[in-house]
Amino acid sequence: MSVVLEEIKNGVIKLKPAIVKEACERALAEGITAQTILNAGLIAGMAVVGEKFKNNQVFVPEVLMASKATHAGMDVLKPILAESAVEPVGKFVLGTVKDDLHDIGKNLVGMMLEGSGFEVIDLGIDVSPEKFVKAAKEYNANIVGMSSLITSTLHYLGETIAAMEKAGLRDSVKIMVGGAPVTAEYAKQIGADGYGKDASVAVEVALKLLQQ
Amino acid sequence: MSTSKQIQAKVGFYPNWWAKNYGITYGEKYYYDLEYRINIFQKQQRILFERFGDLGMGNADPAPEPFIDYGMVLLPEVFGCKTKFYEDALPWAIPANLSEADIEKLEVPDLTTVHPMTEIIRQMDYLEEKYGRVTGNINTTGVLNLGLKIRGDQLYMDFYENPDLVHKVFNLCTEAIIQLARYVKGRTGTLASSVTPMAPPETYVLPNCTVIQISNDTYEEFVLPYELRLAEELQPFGIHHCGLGDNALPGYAKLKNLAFLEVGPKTNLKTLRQLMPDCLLNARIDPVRMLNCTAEEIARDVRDIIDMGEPLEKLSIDAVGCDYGTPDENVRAMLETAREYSAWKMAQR
Repeated sequence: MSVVLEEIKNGVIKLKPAIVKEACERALAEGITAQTILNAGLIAGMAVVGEKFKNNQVFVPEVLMASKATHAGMDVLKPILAESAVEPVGKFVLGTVKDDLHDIGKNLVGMMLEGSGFEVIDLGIDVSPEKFVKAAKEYNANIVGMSSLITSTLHYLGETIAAMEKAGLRDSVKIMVGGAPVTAEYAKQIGADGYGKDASVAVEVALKLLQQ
Repeated sequence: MSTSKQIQAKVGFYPNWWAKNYGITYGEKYYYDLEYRINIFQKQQRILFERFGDLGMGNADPAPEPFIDYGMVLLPEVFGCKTKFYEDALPWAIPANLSEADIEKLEVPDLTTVHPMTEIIRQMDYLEEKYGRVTGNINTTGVLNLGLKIRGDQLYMDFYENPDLVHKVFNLCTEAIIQLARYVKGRTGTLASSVTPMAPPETYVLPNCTVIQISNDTYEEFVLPYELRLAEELQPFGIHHCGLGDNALPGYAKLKNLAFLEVGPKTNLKTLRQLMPDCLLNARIDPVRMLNCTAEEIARDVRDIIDMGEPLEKLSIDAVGCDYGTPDENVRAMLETAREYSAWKMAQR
């Protein structure tokens, strides 16, 4: 791997947005394609951070800073990626279910997905089943991901899946669920396609679902 | 913590359990209408007695309990957060996401002159006049919990990019917590029960729900200095850590005179006891496991805690926040196993 790509990757791992931005500009000046910088630099760095997060070697502040570093690089690459019409690996509609105002876990998932090449449409918190359905249609989503942090909002996961079925979207859109009270068994029980135990696993599952 | 024969064990239910099973709703009314709250408390005691009286829960003929309560949202509101109240859930303060400039101007007011503390004081006055006493039941929120409400998730990036601002925020939080805790304890003599029913009521228990999201290094650098100050000012001092506690244990062990520690499910109690052999320990059973597991699995969780949490004289177990759908047999398994297994172990000595 070229030195500058290694610098970008390490800049993400070491949580240095300014270094990542400068190195991305330098990489482009050296003639490295934006797609290569994205994959071998930014996404590779975020993957390392995701693995460390999964293993409790880094925590939420570090993931947020790594995400900020990735975005600093993306800001440099975006105009070129847009010109060359590079497609995201997938479109992911994301939100915390109705009546649930927790968002840190959902935000982490969004950042890790973006760091892995997804286009993320974040609907925010307190998202009704109808809003999920509308967004899935509007953005032609590959995956809809829902988060619930408290047991009293768990039922909205199943209700949103039912709304997706009713809207005729169930065959074309994969559904992922996550959040503290959610388990793999519960995800299966309500008919979700995937379950992310944490943000890092959510990305792995999302990438697998795209292949199905 | 425990009688001489068995450890203390309790089960509590989330508002959703009350709402769906019995139509008892909370909402803003619960926090602002004193008679409504006192009636609900009595009704809940009667229901618990009917359903679980054989386990020692509830009361067939409860006296009015004059207590104040404002969920976890009092200090967040003081610092500008809006609160969303729910009929079937605890109130939630929406982060104010204050800018750096807003925070630089921020000061801790005299709490007795600002809402919602003025409302709490009005309620205290009323309760004292009518019942002759009032029970302090105020959750001050913890340093990091409150800091995140004031600054939002940006606070996490401030750890790296703007540490001075983090200290400014945490200083404000600490000053406000001390002022609130002193007022409530000075007037009522009690503090703990809004955070946990398991600590001695006169204990100040600091809610550290969000500490699970940071590394121990970050905790020790940014949060611990303020908690050391709180531990000096507010004795006896305790900590509530509702998540897995393993990561924070080395930091907590540095708190002087930590009288009480409550940790979340599956925390390594052996490590905890090596680091903090003398503090009162309450270990929590996960309400999600209470909802989803079998009674035998719950009983196993309880036995594991008892095996690892010695000395039993300083151990208790609870399962609070049990939601609608939690099987009654899991409630029974939790309480009966805690009492019977701990009694058996104590009798072996």
